[in-house]
Amino acid sequence: MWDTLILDPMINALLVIYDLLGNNFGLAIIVFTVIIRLITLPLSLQQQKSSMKMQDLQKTKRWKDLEKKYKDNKKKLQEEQLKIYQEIGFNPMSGCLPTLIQFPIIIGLYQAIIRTLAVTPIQLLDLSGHIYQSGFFSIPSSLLPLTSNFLWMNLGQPERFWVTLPIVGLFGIPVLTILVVISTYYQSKLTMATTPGDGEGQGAQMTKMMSLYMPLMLGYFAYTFASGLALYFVASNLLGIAQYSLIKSSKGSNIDLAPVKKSVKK
Amino acid sequence: MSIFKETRITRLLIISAIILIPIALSGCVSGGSMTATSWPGVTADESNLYIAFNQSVFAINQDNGKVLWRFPVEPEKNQTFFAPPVLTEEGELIVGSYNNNVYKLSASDGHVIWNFTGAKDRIIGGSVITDQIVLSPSTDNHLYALDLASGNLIWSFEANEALWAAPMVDQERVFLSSLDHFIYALDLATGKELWRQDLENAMVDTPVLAGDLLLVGTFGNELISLNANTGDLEWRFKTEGWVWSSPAVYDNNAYFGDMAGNFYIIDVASGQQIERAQMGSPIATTPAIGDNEIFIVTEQGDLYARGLDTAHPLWQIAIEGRMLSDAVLANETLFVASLDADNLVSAMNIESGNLRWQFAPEK
Repeated sequence: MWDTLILDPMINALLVIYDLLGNNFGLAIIVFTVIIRLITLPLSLQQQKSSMKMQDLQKTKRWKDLEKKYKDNKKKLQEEQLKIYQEIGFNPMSGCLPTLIQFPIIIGLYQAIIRTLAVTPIQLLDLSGHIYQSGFFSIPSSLLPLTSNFLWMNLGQPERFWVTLPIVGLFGIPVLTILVVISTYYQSKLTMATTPGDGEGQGAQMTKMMSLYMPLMLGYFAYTFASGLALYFVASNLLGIAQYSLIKSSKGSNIDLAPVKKSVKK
Repeated sequence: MSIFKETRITRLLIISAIILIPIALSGCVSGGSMTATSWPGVTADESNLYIAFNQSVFAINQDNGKVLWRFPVEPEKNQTFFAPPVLTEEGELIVGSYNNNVYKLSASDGHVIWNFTGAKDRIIGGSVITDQIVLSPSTDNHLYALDLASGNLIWSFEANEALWAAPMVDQERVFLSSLDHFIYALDLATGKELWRQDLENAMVDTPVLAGDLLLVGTFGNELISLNANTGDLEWRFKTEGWVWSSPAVYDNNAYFGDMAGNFYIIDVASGQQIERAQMGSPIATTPAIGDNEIFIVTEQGDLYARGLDTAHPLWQIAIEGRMLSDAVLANETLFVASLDADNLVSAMNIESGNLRWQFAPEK
């Protein structure tokens, strides 16, 4: 099911792009990342707009008044907040669903890149079962193995830019790893700015932890695993940053709520 | 729906991402020290079995499946072995490693006699020994010719892509298949290229010499025959799937399988099909040929014994795990290695298929 619906179409699409781009796998990864980002753009936009709307909502006087008023009665607070959602026609789950839908796409993309690179016998053998070998979308097997060189990198190996330094001698600078860490951190900061939370709550703490954890984790993957994956991280992050910046610069949701009504008083 | 529930869901998503992303990545990215990136390489001499798998080379008693020695004694993190070991006439073992080294080991106790460190990438394919020369293919695109006694480099030859297959050697020539779509003929003494032929698709197993013909399977769904003297194409036999493994040649017939699960018998001289059977699972191994039987191993673990002349079914058993290693025949016993199974090696009586023993390495 996973292979048929997600992984196989991605692997074969990646191979078609590779073929069209003159057997350049680095460019194929970048173009493929752009295409996936475009396909999932409506979901990303919905998620971001939902988060921003929630953030705007939390800044309103009425919301803050409610929080003060019912700070010792969580159940009542929830009921009143639910009324506000209904009043303005906002579904707080609208921000979660796009994330859930995007998650398998992101995992599938990771797997497609690594499986297509196929640098070990097991990977290459398994790849034979994923390539469309008949029908309209038949992929020529002469494409294999993929040419894994891109710029100074072997996309099937961890990336290092080798330089000769005065005292150290030959030294490998993990350029992509550094780019992955910086771009992931920057993207996390942008995301945090549109994530609901008052800056002190558990959710906000979790988000802050993520903004530190994710760059380190992805940086570790970029340092350790095939650089094709690191290239995807960088391309995806840069596109994400551009997308977040565009949304941020666009007009806000301007939620205007009436003051707390008497009827909601205890 | 309350904001608290939404916050809880968001938190759940974040935690899921933290847990699932590493799992998903580690699941698809091979290369960890304990994750097998290839299948076991198996070789037998008169009394022992030698298995290169993951972090160890095992020497096993053929009679009872007991471990005689393992190399290295304690597994090392970045040292893995998958290339089939090869035996010298003096009872030594040549084995390549994923740490780029080629080792010559004593077959009696596994101690290192010499270690070639000149390759710049993994040794995936097996080595070949001929006339005091060891030929070791590397994924750094080079074939290294080493002095058998010292391990010193004699010559090297560079292809355009990685070499995953052991070369085929006759008295004077080396035939080399490559992932770069070319098959090469080299002078054994000097490594000088004699001819090359573009077969338009990758090759991952050893070409087989049948008289003056060279047979090799490709990812282009073909078994191809070339003139070994000139490299000229003689015939091309179309298959349904990739031909991953070398054919076995016996009595002017070639026996081989493809990744679509077909088993073929074809006439070597003409390239005409004699028989074809669907075995129900990809075949990535070279059939083993006994005195009167042929043994076919499928990826899903089915092992078929058939009469060599009549192709009449003799027996069939199923072994747990993926079967991607060539089966080995020795002392009336068939040895097969499994991947992703508790037992690494199974030994069977070739006449009955009855299991003699199974070997599971200590974890």
